[in-house]
Amino acid sequence: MRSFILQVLVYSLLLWILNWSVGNYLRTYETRDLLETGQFFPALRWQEYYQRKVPIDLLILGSSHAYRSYDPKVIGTELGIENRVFNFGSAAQSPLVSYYILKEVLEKQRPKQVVMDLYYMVFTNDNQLRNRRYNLDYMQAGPAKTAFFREGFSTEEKVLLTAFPALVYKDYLKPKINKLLGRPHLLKKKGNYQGAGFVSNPDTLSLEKLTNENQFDYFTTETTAITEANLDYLRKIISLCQREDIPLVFVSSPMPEISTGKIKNYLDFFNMFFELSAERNVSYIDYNINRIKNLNDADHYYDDDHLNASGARIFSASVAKYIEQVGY
Amino acid sequence: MLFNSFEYAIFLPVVFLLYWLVFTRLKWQNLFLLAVSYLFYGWWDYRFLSLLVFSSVVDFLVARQMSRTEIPKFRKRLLIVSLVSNLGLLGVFKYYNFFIGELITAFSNVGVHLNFGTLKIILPVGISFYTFQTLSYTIDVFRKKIKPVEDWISFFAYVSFFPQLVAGPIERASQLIPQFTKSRKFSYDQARDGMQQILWGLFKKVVIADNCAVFVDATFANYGELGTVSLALGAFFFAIQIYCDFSGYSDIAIGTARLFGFNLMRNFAFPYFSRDIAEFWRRWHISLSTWFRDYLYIPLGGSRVDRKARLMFNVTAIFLVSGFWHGANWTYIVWGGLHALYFLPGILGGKNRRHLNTVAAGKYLPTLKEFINIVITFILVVIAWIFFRAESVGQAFDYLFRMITNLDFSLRPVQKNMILILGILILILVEWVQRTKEHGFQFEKKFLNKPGRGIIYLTTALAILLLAPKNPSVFIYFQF
Repeated sequence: MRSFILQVLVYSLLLWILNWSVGNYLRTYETRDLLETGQFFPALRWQEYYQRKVPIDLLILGSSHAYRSYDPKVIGTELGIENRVFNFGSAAQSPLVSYYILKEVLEKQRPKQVVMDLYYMVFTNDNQLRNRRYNLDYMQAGPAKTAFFREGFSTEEKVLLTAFPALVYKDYLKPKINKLLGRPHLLKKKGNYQGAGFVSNPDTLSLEKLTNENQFDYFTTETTAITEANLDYLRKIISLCQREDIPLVFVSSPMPEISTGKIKNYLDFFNMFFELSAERNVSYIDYNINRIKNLNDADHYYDDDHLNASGARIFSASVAKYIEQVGY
Repeated sequence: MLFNSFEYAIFLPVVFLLYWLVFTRLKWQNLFLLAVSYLFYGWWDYRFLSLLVFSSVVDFLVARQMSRTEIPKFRKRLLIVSLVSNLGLLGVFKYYNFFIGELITAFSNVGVHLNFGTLKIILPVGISFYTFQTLSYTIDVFRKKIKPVEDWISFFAYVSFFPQLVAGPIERASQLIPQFTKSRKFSYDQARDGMQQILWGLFKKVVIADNCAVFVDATFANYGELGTVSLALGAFFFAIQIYCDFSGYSDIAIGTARLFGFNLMRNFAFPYFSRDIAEFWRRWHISLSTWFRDYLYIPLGGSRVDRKARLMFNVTAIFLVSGFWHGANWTYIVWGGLHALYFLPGILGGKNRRHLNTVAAGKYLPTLKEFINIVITFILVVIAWIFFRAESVGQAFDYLFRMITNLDFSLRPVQKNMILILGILILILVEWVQRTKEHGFQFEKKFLNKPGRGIIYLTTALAILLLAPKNPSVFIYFQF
């Protein structure tokens, strides 16, 4: 019995060392391969944030809609706070992630305004481990990171993140093998990091593709899919901003009209968030309801739900005016 | 609780240590196994534990009453009580909606519209397996092959033994109950072999079956738009998937039982190296095939009948019932029927027991004839699997039709799945080399030294960590 247990322990230890070594090697796909080519936006964003000397007056939170739509340069110029706008949006950022990013920012910064982009779909999923990890991995150690790890991850995820890097980074096995074989291994570039968290994409999607190959063609999600956990964290963000006396506005950035037209129950989602923000005295504007006249589907989107570089400029100028109007 | 889940990775070592270090007396070990088996089953849905307990209570009492009387009529009545209770539950939970649906369709075809409602029934995991297991007990007591168990804990633990509770092997009472009533001692060799079998089973399930499932699901969902190569590859991958999924489960079950000092029956014996269909059925899902042989085929007269028509009836009945056992869908019945068609020529010609030995025993490679026979048998099995996997019989025929009419011989689907195909080649190589052994990782010491074996185990374990698809799937046979 003793020798059996000993043998199992030895094998487990060897396996754990192997997993540790391989996992950390795979992780270099993020920290080296993608980062060096400017393709790994979460790391670039956090690195820039920690090296930053200038205070942040306006902080933007939200999903990819946030980091691809709100151009800090345009907003800063419009509001007269050049270099003082920072976009902390990240892929599929749920309110839980936004909350801990805000907590981390508040450790060192004192923004005068927080803008939170509401993309309804991120409220329907609690389980995007990768997108939560993208922020956790590059946050510096401190109370916000500790709380994020404690509250934002299940026990299973905590075990994975702490002890099984091979499992966490296994998606990078294929590109790493491709790299070793001298084959193309980098992801297709989906925009350029412009600084202050913003990513712009100069491409434009054709109307034909927007109409015929649209992810919302078979959209069936109901408002009931929105999880209570996500709404809870949205309320926590509101309370935190009110406690710290930081004005907060909610904005839903524009998507192509063709796409929102395919979401038959779009108004149900809007009403739900409009009521929630009204209850808590938070200003809210949805640019898919209040359309910007000079934004159009033919010229200003790079895919079926994100603005391209020129669309982002137009929208940023417009949203800056709204922020000013509600009290910045 | 799934064998390939995080919970099980904690459950198994904790149960193992408590079992051997804390509960050292037989009675306590059995009681502990019973408790953890119920925990294992209840983890999925505790409400269905009541069915498990009900089956156990009925069969324990029925068998005890049977042993107290010699009156054949009374014994028969008791057996009927057991059959009706167990098969009744199975019927309600598994087949009620099917029969009601078919009845409504049949009557509507002649213009009569029935107003029966179907029920929203969740199929309790493993009900087909534990029902057959506990039935084997009452039938064997009825036939006086075994004596009833006096100790209820041993019997309840036999019915609910967690390694094989939800997908077999379907154990015979005569084989497993004595292992509960005799004291068990830890055996290093047995436990080590168990670990090796678990590792091989996990590799088959997580690395091969779950990755095949990704391609198979996409292929069967969009078969109308795909061409020959994709459809053929989809069918081939499904054959590999179902084998690796189910035999992988069986390996983990048998290996786990060995950790606790139990020997379960073999369920798979490298079936895809079979040279004809009869051999395939001696090597595929052995615990179910032999159950049907012992409790249905032989009572029907088996192959010792005077008329060929009767033999054909017996064989066909066994395969159709076996198909229907898998689920309430015509696809399974057609699958069973196809296998009956494959099987009949051999048994009618007296050639069904030609291949009782292992193929190419003592040699590295099969002869050309053996190889051709293996390939033909495999193709026949794959064709039948298309019916098994399809949503309906019509879809299966359509799938086959498109495979031969949507002529597209582009090798892109093969190229895109090269890593998986490489994994399957490794699987075939390991199983071919090990085909005379109980499982793929039962290495001979002279064949591979200790460091060599260690490297294989570690590489396999790492492959399991790295190559599992994002969404692990449940074992296919859980739904049966």
